[in-house]
Amino acid sequence: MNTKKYFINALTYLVLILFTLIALYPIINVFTISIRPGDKLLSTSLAIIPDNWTLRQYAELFVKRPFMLWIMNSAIISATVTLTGVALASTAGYALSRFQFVGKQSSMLALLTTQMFPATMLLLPMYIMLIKLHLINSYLGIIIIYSATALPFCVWQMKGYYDTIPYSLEESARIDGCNKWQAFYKIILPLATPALVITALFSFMTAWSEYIVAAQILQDTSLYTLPIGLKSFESNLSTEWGLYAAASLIVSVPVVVLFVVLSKWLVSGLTLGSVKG
Amino acid sequence: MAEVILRNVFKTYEGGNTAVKDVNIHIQDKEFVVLVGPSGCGKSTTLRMIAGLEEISSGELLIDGKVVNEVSPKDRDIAMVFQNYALYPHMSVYENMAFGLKLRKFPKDEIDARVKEAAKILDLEQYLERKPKALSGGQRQRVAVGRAIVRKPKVFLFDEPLSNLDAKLRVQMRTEISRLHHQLEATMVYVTHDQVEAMTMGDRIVVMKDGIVQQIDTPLNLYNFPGNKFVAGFIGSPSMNFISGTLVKEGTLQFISENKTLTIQIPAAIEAKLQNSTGKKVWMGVRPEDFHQVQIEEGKKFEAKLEVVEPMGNEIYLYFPVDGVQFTARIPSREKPNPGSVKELYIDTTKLHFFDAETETALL
Repeated sequence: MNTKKYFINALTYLVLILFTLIALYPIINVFTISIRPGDKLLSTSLAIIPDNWTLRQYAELFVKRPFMLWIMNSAIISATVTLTGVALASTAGYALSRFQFVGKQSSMLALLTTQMFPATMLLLPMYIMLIKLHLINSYLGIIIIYSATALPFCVWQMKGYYDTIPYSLEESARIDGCNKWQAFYKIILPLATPALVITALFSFMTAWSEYIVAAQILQDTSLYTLPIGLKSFESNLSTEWGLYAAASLIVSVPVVVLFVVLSKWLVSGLTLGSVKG
Repeated sequence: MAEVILRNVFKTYEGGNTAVKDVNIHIQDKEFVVLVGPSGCGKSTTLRMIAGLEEISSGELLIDGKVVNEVSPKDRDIAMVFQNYALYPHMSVYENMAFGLKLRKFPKDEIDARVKEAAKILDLEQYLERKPKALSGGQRQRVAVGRAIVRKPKVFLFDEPLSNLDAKLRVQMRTEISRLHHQLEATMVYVTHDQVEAMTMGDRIVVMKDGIVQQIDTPLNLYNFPGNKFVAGFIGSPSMNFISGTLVKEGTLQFISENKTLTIQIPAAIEAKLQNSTGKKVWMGVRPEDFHQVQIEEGKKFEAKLEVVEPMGNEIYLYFPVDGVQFTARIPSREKPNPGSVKELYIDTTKLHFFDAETETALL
């Protein structure tokens, strides 16, 4: 019995280690490339820290390239999309979860329908709309498009989470002295933190790593976001893989940090103990 | 003073489904009124209308002499304890209890004093810093009660507060709530489907069925003088036995069961009241404890062929057919008769109940 348990444990760890390696390999590879000296970029060496390693690529990014500008642009756009996503999805989801109104079902279906088309397919109509609104080449234009892309999913998942929170909590709050708005933001919103975190992460990721839409709408180099900026390292004749690798690593840092910081809020069972389950 | 008056109150949902029909209840100041009835009888809806959580479709609701139909729950000065406790899970026990007072901008010292006083009454002092998830069911329910009493509201509303607790805890909390009622001298409205809770706690009981109030009376009056067949069957456990038959005048007034296997001489004391129903179909009701093992005055002897025998410790329930209907008798537990045996029993005919077969209203 014990041998069998031991064997299963060993096998579990083996599989986990294997998948961890598969997940880590590209990151390690990118890291290695980012610190290789320029003449050894295409080396087949497996050393993680190459001989004559250098931080020249990182320095060049910040000193010679408008990398800081791209980070700023991406940060402004992503933060705005995240805030918009959280503010609108939390309230719209609540309305869809709690209130009965004309057009509730059809509006939910309409939201779902937008998720059925790939972003590339929506690119042309969105582009035309932005031209008519004179929003091409502007923060506002890209923010509207990213928010519109992220919101349907966020609204649905917020609604789904609110549905699991018992009505009696709000009713209790309203008897305790809250009006409807207070019951929402003092009681229900804190309980919906896990869903809010997912909404925030999803909205952020939608904006932070998006390339195709940004490449069409932001043509002014001063408005470039990180993904378009990175792509500019690529040309017909040669690609600056060292810079590309260094930039990719830096770009992924905020995402990793965000996930680590927010993951503690992603716990289920926050409403545990409120009502008899 | 905190009277609660419901005047011709109706609740009709969209789609025409009427949950509460023409309810009239006058709840006195400091009174403990229990709304009781089977599932879907409208008792919770009525309570929620008093709380302001459901709109009143028509009729008037007065709290403390003022019509409050359009007043929001927070301004009605009521507190409510929910069946599922509805504690705020992200707040500690202290914060849960203080929440209502904070919203009403009470000074900090007073909030602290009131919460501590409530915690003392409810024996929650050592749990004040805990979150609800770290409490047992009984403790959570006490926090929910505490959250209500710190507010010192005009009216307390309870919506089946004990139905999620186990049997032992339920009895304990039942007495605690009754004790609180005496201690706080507050008006309380309590909803339950459990007639034992209703009987033991209420100053008066409102029995409801299908959204209609069947009878409002004190527990003992409901038990002894049920207004109709439904109330007679609902109040009392095991419930009243019913048998249909006809009242026939053959010299004296007699009840003859449908299949004519049981004939009962109506005692002179109640004969006059039943005169008008002579020749009519009626329901006769017998409470399980009105069967006796020994000859009594005005006792109707008959032989019961026992089908099931349930010893309860202090008493025994006997199940046997009478005229094709299963009857239950409750007798003191001295010896346990065997199922299948025949036992002589005497029905106390002075304690019989009669109901009109059509309207089901009481004839006595």
